[in-house]
Amino acid sequence: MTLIPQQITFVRTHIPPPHNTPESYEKFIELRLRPHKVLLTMLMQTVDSLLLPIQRQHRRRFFCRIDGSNQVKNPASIIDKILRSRKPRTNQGNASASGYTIKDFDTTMTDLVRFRIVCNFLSDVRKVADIITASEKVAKHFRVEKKDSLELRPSQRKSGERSIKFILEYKNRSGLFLEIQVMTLLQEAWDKKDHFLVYETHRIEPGEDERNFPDYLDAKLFAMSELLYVADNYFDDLRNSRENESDNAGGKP
Amino acid sequence: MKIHDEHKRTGHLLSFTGHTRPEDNFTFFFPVEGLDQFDDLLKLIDGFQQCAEAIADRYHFSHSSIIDIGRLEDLFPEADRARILRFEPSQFLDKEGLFVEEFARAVLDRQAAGITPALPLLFTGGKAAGANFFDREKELQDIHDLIAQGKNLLLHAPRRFGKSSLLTRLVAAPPPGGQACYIDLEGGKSPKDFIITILKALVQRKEFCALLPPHFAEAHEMSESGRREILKGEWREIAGDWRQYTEKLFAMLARAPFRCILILDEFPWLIEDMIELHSEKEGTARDFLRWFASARQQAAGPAFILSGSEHLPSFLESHGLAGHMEDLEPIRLGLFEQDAARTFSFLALAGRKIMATREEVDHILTLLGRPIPYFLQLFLDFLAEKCWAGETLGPEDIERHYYQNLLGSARTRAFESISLQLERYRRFGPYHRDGAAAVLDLLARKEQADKAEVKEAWLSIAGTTTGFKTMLAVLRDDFYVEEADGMLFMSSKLLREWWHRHEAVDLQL
Repeated sequence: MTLIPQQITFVRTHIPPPHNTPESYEKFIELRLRPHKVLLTMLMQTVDSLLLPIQRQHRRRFFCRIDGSNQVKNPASIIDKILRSRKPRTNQGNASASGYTIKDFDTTMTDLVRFRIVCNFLSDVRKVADIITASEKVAKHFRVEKKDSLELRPSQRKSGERSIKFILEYKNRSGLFLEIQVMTLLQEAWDKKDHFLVYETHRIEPGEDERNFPDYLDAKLFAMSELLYVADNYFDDLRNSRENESDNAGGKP
Repeated sequence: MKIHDEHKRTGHLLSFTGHTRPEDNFTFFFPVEGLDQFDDLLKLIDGFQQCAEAIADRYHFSHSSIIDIGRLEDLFPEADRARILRFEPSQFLDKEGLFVEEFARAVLDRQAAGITPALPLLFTGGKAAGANFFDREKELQDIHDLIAQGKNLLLHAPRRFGKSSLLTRLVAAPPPGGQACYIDLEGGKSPKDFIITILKALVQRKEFCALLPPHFAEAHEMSESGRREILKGEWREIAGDWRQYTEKLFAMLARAPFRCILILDEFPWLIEDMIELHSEKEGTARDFLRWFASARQQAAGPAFILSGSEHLPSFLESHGLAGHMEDLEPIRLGLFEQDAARTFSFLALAGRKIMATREEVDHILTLLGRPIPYFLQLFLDFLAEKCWAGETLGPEDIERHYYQNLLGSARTRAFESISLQLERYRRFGPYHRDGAAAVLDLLARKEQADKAEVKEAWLSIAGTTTGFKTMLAVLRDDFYVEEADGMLFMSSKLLREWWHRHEAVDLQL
């Protein structure tokens, strides 16, 4: 991924040689992410096995899938996040007061590696989140922080994203964080579009937010998220009524 | 040791992608079972990352999680599915949890070299060719070097030793500027048979046909019967004067734009049958050997590699035919080196989808001692079959199978050639078979014995020391009897134990 001039300067001055070039800084970062990536595999397998019984229970329909296609924050985004964290803050963020650094990013950033669980219905998201929360295996190995933005008021949300996120810190290695995102298919669809339209544009032109993100764009993206949330609720209601009808008729869900 | 669990879908991918051609890539998949494997998998990644440095000029190394190996294309669309290997993390970690670099390097080297199949197949009793030919690089290089120096060679190896596989490999990978033709002389009984067998082999190869008279030009493309017709025509000329015909043929081969190398396998059998036939009319073995020694001296002639499982010089000496082999440079194919055997075992078992740790492989090799390729493959094959039948084999099971099955009476056929070899010693003289058996009996019982004591055992049967030296040379090659510091011993633990269990008992009876 191409670096912008400010990021190139950062790479040259903050990353130790021989990796302090735009051509080789990625290797430096990737090496630091080895434990995260390994732990991610373990966690994926653990969560997959936790979800197996409920998947079997709902085998007649799509219940959820684990999506590991976007596992690792790309090196350019990590550099970008470090740089952004160094700027004076005008709003709340999850960085420490002094911001991230190239020395400690791998023990302070909580979203370096992640996977997503994409569910069919809104209520499935809750079920999946409950399984993870209740898992002794997860609790044995991780300190877990749950962030639920499914039903937050618009004023409490920075963007249109709606999901349940788990930030997990490996107990055997302090500072080794992973993230699990649980969301519906529709929420995932919104997120993918937002990532392309907003996140990448901002990353490439960080100083051009005023020009790139006029209010109408923000408002429309936000509105789409709300619309899909309405759709998710509506689908959940439809499913409930179908299941109730089926139960009354002696059928199976 | 157990069979891979193919149901495990979630794991870690190690991918190696060509810098210049991304479609040139290979992948290792490590399924995982749970969070307790974190440290092991991390060591594995670190180990492979270091090994990957050796091929970093050609391949980019990366690794990632995969939720379902069956959906690899979602994550890695350009993955070459023919070059994906599945391993368990424990296959690359020893019992101390240390990374087993030699196994990792072996699979990486084979994959990076594009060897197909990446894991060698077990060819128990058959010729291991192509990607399944393993190790013996030193022997191959020695042969190349000696041929380059203009030497003719005498390659000796007992049966089951991989001799034919090495020779087949030599045909596929001849010395630079050379072309080798493999000729199996088994069944020949006369000098005329010798030359017609050579001719039969040459006419199957286009590059050699081009060196022969014009009527041979298309022989390599003909049917068997077509070739037979041509050879019939030659037979008349050969019958007239085989020496003149052969010298003419060798002169033609000498004019080739490449160095002709004739591999004459089972040469001792030809000589043995010639001795038995002993026909003045057909040409005696002595005449033939004398003539052939002189033909080899022609500076510009083809290079010869004579090969066979008999100890030829001793055999000729015992028949008063010594003195015709001195120009040949001897090459002896030894037992498998332990390191090569360990790597081969690991790869071959992995090729059968068997998960074996370094300790398990070492245990197999401890039981076998320095292995004979055939018996190593036989045992690995057997253990693999057991795993496929659902068994999980621990060290005790491996040991039980070694003693009960490999050395048990059920495998007698596998050792048949060794028993037969002993019978063939009768050709050396009336007491040679039993004398050799007495020596082996002693060495099997005592593991090692003073040379004087061994001679005593021989004397007790033979009543004379005549033939003792010759038989020791023969036993060195056939039964791996070695000498160190005045002590004699059988260097193959397997053969010693086999002898002790079966043949020695027979002798006592």
